[in-house]
This record gives sequence, C-alpha cells and structure tokens, in this order.
Amino acid sequence: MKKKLLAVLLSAAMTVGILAGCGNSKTEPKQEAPAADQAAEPEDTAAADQAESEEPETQEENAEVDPALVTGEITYWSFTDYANNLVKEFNEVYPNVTIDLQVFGGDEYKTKILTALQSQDGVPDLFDLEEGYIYEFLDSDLIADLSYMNIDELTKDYYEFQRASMKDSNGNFKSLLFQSSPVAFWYLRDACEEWLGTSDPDEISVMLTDWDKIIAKGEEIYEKSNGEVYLWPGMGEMVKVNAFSYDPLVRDGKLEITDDWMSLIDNMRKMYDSKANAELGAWSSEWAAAWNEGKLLFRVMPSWDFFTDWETNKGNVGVAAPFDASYEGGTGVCVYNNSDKKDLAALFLTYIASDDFQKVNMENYNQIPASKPVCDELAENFAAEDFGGQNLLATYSVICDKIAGITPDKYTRPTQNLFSKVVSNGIKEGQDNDTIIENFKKELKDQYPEVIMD
Amino acid sequence: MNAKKRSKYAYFYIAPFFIVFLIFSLFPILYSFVLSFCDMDVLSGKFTFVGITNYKRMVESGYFFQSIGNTLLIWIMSIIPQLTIAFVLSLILSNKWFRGKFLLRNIYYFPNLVTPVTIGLLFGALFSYPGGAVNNVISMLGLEAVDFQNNQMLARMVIAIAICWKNFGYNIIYFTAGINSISEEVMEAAQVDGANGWQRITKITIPLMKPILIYVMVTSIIGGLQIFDESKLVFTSVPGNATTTMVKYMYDSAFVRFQFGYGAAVAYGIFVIIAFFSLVSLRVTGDKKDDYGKKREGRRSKLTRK
Amino acid sequence: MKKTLCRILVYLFAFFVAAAAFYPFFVMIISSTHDNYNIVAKINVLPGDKLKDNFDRLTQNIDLTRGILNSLMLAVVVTVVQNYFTMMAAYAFSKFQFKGKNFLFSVVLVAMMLPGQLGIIGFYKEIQALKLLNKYFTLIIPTISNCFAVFFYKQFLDGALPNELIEAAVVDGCAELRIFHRIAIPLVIPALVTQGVMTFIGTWNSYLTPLIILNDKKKFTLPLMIATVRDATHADYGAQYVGMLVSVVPMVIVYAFASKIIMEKIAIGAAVKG
Repeated sequence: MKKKLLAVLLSAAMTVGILAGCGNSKTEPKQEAPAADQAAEPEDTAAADQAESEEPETQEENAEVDPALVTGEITYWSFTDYANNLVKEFNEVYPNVTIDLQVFGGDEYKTKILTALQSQDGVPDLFDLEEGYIYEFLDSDLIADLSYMNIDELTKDYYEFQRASMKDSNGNFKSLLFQSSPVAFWYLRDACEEWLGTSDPDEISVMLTDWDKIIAKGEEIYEKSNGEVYLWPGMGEMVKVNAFSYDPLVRDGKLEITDDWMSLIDNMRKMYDSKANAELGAWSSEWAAAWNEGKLLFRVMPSWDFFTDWETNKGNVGVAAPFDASYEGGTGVCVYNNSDKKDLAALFLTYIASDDFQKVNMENYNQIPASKPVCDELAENFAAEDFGGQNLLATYSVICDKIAGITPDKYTRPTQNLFSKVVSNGIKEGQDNDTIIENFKKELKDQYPEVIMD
Repeated sequence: MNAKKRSKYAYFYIAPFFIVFLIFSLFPILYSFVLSFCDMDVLSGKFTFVGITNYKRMVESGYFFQSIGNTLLIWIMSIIPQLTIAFVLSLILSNKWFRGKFLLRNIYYFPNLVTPVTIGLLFGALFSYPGGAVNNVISMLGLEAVDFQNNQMLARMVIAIAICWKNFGYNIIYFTAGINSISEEVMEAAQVDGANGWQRITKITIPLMKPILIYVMVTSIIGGLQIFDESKLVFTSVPGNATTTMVKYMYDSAFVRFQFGYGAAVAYGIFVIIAFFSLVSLRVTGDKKDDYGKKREGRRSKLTRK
Repeated sequence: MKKTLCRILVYLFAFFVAAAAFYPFFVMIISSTHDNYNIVAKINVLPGDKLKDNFDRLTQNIDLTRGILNSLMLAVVVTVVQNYFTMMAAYAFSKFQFKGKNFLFSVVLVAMMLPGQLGIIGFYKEIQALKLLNKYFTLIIPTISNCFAVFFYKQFLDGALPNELIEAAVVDGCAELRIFHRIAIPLVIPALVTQGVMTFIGTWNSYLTPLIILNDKKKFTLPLMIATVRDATHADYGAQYVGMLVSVVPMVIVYAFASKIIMEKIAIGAAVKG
C-alpha cells in the first residue's frame, strides 16, 4: 500500500519535473520572442527615423546639462577588478549616477552571465564579456544593438580592427571595446644590444621582417653565444603573430585552410628544427626566467604583462612591432536589450568611449586607447620610463594601424588555438603536413561538428 | 511485529532528505536528461529536439572514448598509492606509542584544503621542463631532465601524483573513523590470545572496518572517475590530449563551447561508465562475506523476525 | 632492538609524508610575500617583502571581514542542517526494514554517480522559477540531499551502532525520536564530526553555486570575493595567495579541533559497543 503510494508520489514528482523541463523549453521562447520584438522594434524605428534629429540633441544635452544633475542607478557586472576604475572615473564626471558594480572573478563568470541571460532574471543593465567567448554571445537579441546610442559616430576614430571586433556576425555593433591590446615583441634592451646590435624598436622591426630572417638571426645568435641564448620562445607564438593577418580558418561556418596557414606549418617546422627556437612553454616559469635573464630575446605579449621582473629590468624593457600585427584579450561592454535603463547605459558607454576617458585610461591605468587620434595625440612626446624612455604609444599605434579589420566569430580564436596546439604537437612527433591537417580536422569536427569541411 | 510497527518511522526519517532530493537534485538530473536529446541555443535557452544525435556523436567521437581511457589510467595510477598510503598512515597513527599524531594528522590533511588553482600552479611549476623543482633534483642526480608535459604517460602520472597527494589525507580521516569504531576490548582479547600485529590487522581491523572500506572504495571510484580540476589546471596542453578526462571533455563541450545538449549526453555517458565500475566493485565486495558480515546478517534477520 | 628500529622507520615514513603534505602550505605562505614575477618564474624559499602590497591589492575593492562572516555563517548552518538530516535518513536505511528501502537506497547510490557540473543549468532555472535567487536559503536547504553523506553514515551505523541497543530501547518504551537523539547520535559522534568537517570545508570553499546564485555583493562569500583578483587574463597571483591564506586559516583551526574530537571519542563508541 505504502509502496504504491510512494511509487505514485515519485512518478508524479518525476512527471512534474519532466513537464516542467519541457514547459521551460517550449513556453519560454514564445513568451520572450514577442517581448524582445516589442522592445526592439520601437527603438529600432526610433533609432532609424530619428537618428539624425535625436542624436545631435542628446549630444547637445550632454554638452549643456550639468553632469551633476544626472541621477539614476544602474547595475554593471564584470569579471575583472579593473572595472572599478571605469566606475570611479565615470563618477568623477557624473557624481550622482550610482553604478552598482559586481565583480565576479574567475573562469565561471561566463556561466553566471549565461544563466542570468537565459532566464532573464536579475540581468544587469551593463556587463563585460571577454574576447575569448564574446562572439558566442553577440548574435543574441538579448544584447542591445548599440546603434541606439549612435555608436558608429562615437567610435568613428577607433582603429579599424577595434571597430570590427565590436560587431556581431551581421555587422551590428553589439559591444564597446574601449581599449586595445596589440601583440608585440617584448625584449630586454641590454640583451638585444648585445646580440642583435641594437635596442631600437624600429631597427629591430626592420631587421626581422619574416620567419626566415628571424630563424637565420636566431641561429647566428645561438652560435655566437655558444648555445646560451635563443631568439624565439616557441612554435606556438608564431601563430599569435600571424593569425590575425590570415583569412580566418573558419568563415561562415566553413573550414578553409589557405596557403598562408599551410606555409605557417612549414615555417613552424623550420623554426622547430632550427637553433633559434627555445621551445619553452608560453607563460611557464622557465620561459619567464629565461627572458628576464637575457637568455631568451623575445616574448610575444599583449600590452599587459606580469612576467617581467621589474625590480631588475626596470627601464631595460623594449617593445617592437612584429612583421604581422595581431591582438590578444580585449574586454567588450554590452547592454542588456530588455533593460529599462538603456539611456543611462548609453551615458556610461558614451563616457568611456569618449576621448576624455581614453586619455584618462592611458594616463592613470596604462591602457592603450582604442581611438587612433587619441593614441597619436598622446604619443607626442610620450616616453615610458619603465621601457627605457621608449615611445610605447607610437609603437602600439603602428601595430594597431596594421591589424586587419576582421570581425571575429565564435570559431576565430578557438580554431587559432587548436591550430597552434595540433601543429606544435604534430611537428614534435614528426608528422607530415597531411597528417597534421587530418588531425586538425578530426579534432575540429569533434568540437564543432556543424563546421562544413571538404 | 515490533519491527513492522516501527517501520513507519523510517519514512518519517527519510522524508526530509528525499523531499529535498526530489525538488533540488532530481529536477536538474531530469532536466539534463531532456537536454541531452536537444540542442540548446546559448542565450535564449531555447531547446530544439534532435533525438539521439548527441549520443550518436558521443559514440562516434573517438575523443570521448579516449577520455575514458585517460581517466582510467590516471585513476589507477592515483588510487592505488593513495589508498595504500592512507591506510598505512591511519594504522600508524592509531598506535598508542606513536607521538605527534595530532600534529601529523592535521598536516596530512593540508593538501585537501588547497584550492585547485593552487594545485595547478604548484604542480605545473614542480614538474616543468627543464627548470622545475623535480627536474632540478633529477639533474642533481646526474640524470637528464625529463619533459613531463610532452610525454603522454608521464603527464598522466603527474596528474595522478597531484590527485594522490591531494586526497590521501581525506582518506585517512575515513579510515581513522573506521579504526576508531573498533572496540578496544576486541583488540585486547586478540592480543591476549597471542595474535601478532599483522594478524590483528588482517583478522580484526580490516574485517571490522569493512563498511567503511566499502564506502571509501565506492566513493573513490565515483569521485576518482570524475577527475577534473587537476586535468584542467596542471598542464595546459599535452600531446594527444593524454590528460583530458571524461569530465574535462564534458566541461569543454558544455562550458567552453556552450554545446549544452552534447555536454548533457556526455554526462550520461560518464554516468554509465561510473555506474558500471561502482556496481562491479559492490558486487566483488558483496560476494566475499566474512564471518563478521554473516554474523551481523544473522543478527539482523533475527531482529526483523521479532 | 628490532622494535626500536621498526619504530624509527615508521617515524621516518610518517614525517617524510608530512613534509610532502606541508609543502603547498609552505609555498602559499612564501608566495604571498612575493610579487607576481617571482611567484611565476622562481622557486622561492625565503619570504619576500611584498606581503603588504599583495594584501592591499586584495582588499582594495572587497570587504574581507564581511566575506569571512558570511562564509562562516553559511558553513556553520549548512554543516548542522545537512548532517542532521542526512544522518536521519541514514539511520532509517541502516536500522529499519521498510518497503522500498532497497529501491530508495539505490537511488541515493545512482545519484552520486552523475557528474554534478551539468546540473547547474537546470538547478538555476528551477531556482529562478521558484524565486529563490540571491537567497542564502538556496545555498542551505538543497545541501540536505547530499547522497555521499547518507551513504557514509549508513555504512558507519551498520558497523558502529548495535541493533540490540536500539532493540532494548524500543522494549523499554523509548520514543522514536528520543532513541535517535539520545542513543544513535551520541554513538556516532566520530562519524558526525568526520563528515561535518567535510561539509564545513566543502561549504567554506564552495564557489560555483554561490557564484551562480548570489547577485548582491553584500552576500558574497569569501571565495567569491577572493576570485575577483583572478580572471582569465590578468591573474594576480600575489593577491590570490594572500586570499588563500586568509581563507585557509579558519579551516585549519576547525579541522584541528575536529580531528581532536575524532580521536578522543574513540573510547565512548567502543565502550558502549563492548
């Protein structure tokens, strides 16, 4: 009797559970689709119709209205402590706007934001997404098309790649990347003086214009130093240099391995077989130590770093532009489409996109501006003490100008990483190009079965 | 009669646990079961029914089976030394003459308090090539430095060492709890009867600890086959994905590539593997009924018959 | 003579393992006093002078005291609630014959075998539907369904609590709950403390569930606060190590007390049983 009752209870509970599961899956989108449409439509039309008349108005307002009179409260989530700086600077100008910032550190921030967006409960008005996964998110209707705040105009002076990387796959601006992080060769001045004969960043860039030259120079240095000094850290770093200058491996859901990529494999093999290559794990302790002791000349680094021993190498660091330009690790700020405070969100984004903030951001926090005129303006008479007085901004401006304006998608960065991993391992195990490509395709197929391959 | 009358209280005792279980554990389990037959859109959370596509993909993917192999290898390499060391140390610490057991027992548990991120950093640095601490020792012995990360078996071994090192203190607690539940008189009686140390361990300690040993073994299988943190954090890239475990594979599918439907299917694949090994282990231990087990069985049936 | 030699070997082995186990603590303490470069690139043996810098960076944007209090409160409540109710369920499984017992116990075993990570999406949707987001309730009540604890207690009760004792109490006309509270629980205190310590440490360290459930930084637990100095790209190891030290100290204290109880309670359990 009791057993039956229990069985009934159990099965009832299970059915409810399953039904609830189905219910979620079926009803939710239905409810949400019209809501999203309703929310989006008026704004879209408003934005389109009144783009010309409304936007100058807001700008005028911004110019005329005392920022201290703007009040309101807005929520903002980030994965990085650094967001506190944005809020601090914003409040210098708009002291009466409260930004409720919550920083959720660690890898799982993306799970947090994902679950919140999926259930549309407690979603913040503004949130940061990291370059590594932002393109999984940008196509969603839940993220506002920033054309409502005239983003195109605001960021018109930004570097081309910077603007491209703010877009979703349909070419709409969905996020704001207000700082750039170009990849460059980091070197020690005294070590390069000794082995390359110069510590001038421009001369170094001119000296090393392709892989053959780097390999040749590296072998020469290896011989001269009796096997003590290596020029190049490892094969994987070569992908970092080239990747954003080549056609993405997967575009429009289709895999195409161009000749550029194939010759990169050959170059990587050449590098591996040469004496120029130290093959130290990127960001490993040996790698960091070798560089700081002058036994490894180059590291391929974005504009931020914590692998430099500033105590011994302060003023001794230099940054040179690689022959191909790329970037690594940006942060995009997005607006929640169903937020009822999109105007305040726009105010915040307008501020951090502004030249004023770009300057503050560089001066106070050493972040490279996303806007070219700002970067060039600051670059005049700029000298970084830690970098031996080098005009870092001038170097970075050159790199940023060169980065191709490709809008990445969710495959771009993961396929680059997979390529780097599979090719490096394949070369170490002595595989030929066909085997390497086959392994690459096999693993890509496992990870993204929807990608079309020939 | 008595037992039957009392049995209604059993439902009262299990009610809080099972009510919470039904609401908060069973629902997510069933939810991911439904999910495993669907594709889920990343942000809208919309389900599209795809039938057994995800399961088919899992079975056809060589990488899932490879991850099973990796998991078993790492598990075996970690579980044997882990349980042996833990058991030996628990016996040592239960000796009356042994001094400093309080301090040592605390220190043994330290690795378990360390967060996974630290373990990743720590072991990555210890076994890095060519300048890690372990390679420094190897070089001091006049041998050639070993590239642990780029050798499939050695990389797995390092992960196994990390796991063993992290968990042996945890097992000591359970073993100690088991040893401590054995009555002093039984031990003393055995001593009077002239049993030596080894006999006392094999004839009294181990049989009397059997329930706890079963617990430790089953949870070691269940927990051990769900190795994840060390696999993710110790080495970033190992040739042939040699250290990618089942749960790591699931995590990458679901939380890195956001393929939640596939991730759910893999989770159920993992479940089948774990269930298989757990059942085998329960069967193996269940068959070997020792005297103690029989006696207790007898007692219990006497009790229920009353 | 042979005995002494044997004991020396035993001591050597025990201390060797202890040294290996203590190593990470040593690394943590030393690393918390160095800057990021030295942590990453060097094997440090001597303490550095960056402890204050690291500590300042850690506490710059977080309220450490609040985090500790929140975590402490949560860990204590979860430990009590979870272990009381799982012990109850285990007691029923171990000492009662009832219909559906085997089925229900297999449910417990099976539930242990499913990898937990994936349930998080379904759990979140459910919590959201029940309007339980951003509440400590959600971090406390669901922990009652800890199958590992039920399994452990059942195994322990099977061995440590003689049926005759319960039987005698029933014959004496003792009320059911009273038997549980006055006879069963005191006899298995070593097990309660053992599992309780696990619960406490697990809750104290738990990161993913609080992260998903809590939105309000006033409610953040310590691990959530410490995680703010680490993200995918700008990992600040120095500040992280200080954070780990801060969070490990209470656990060491709790564990030290508990392990004393685990050891001292031997006599009680044994005496009653004998």
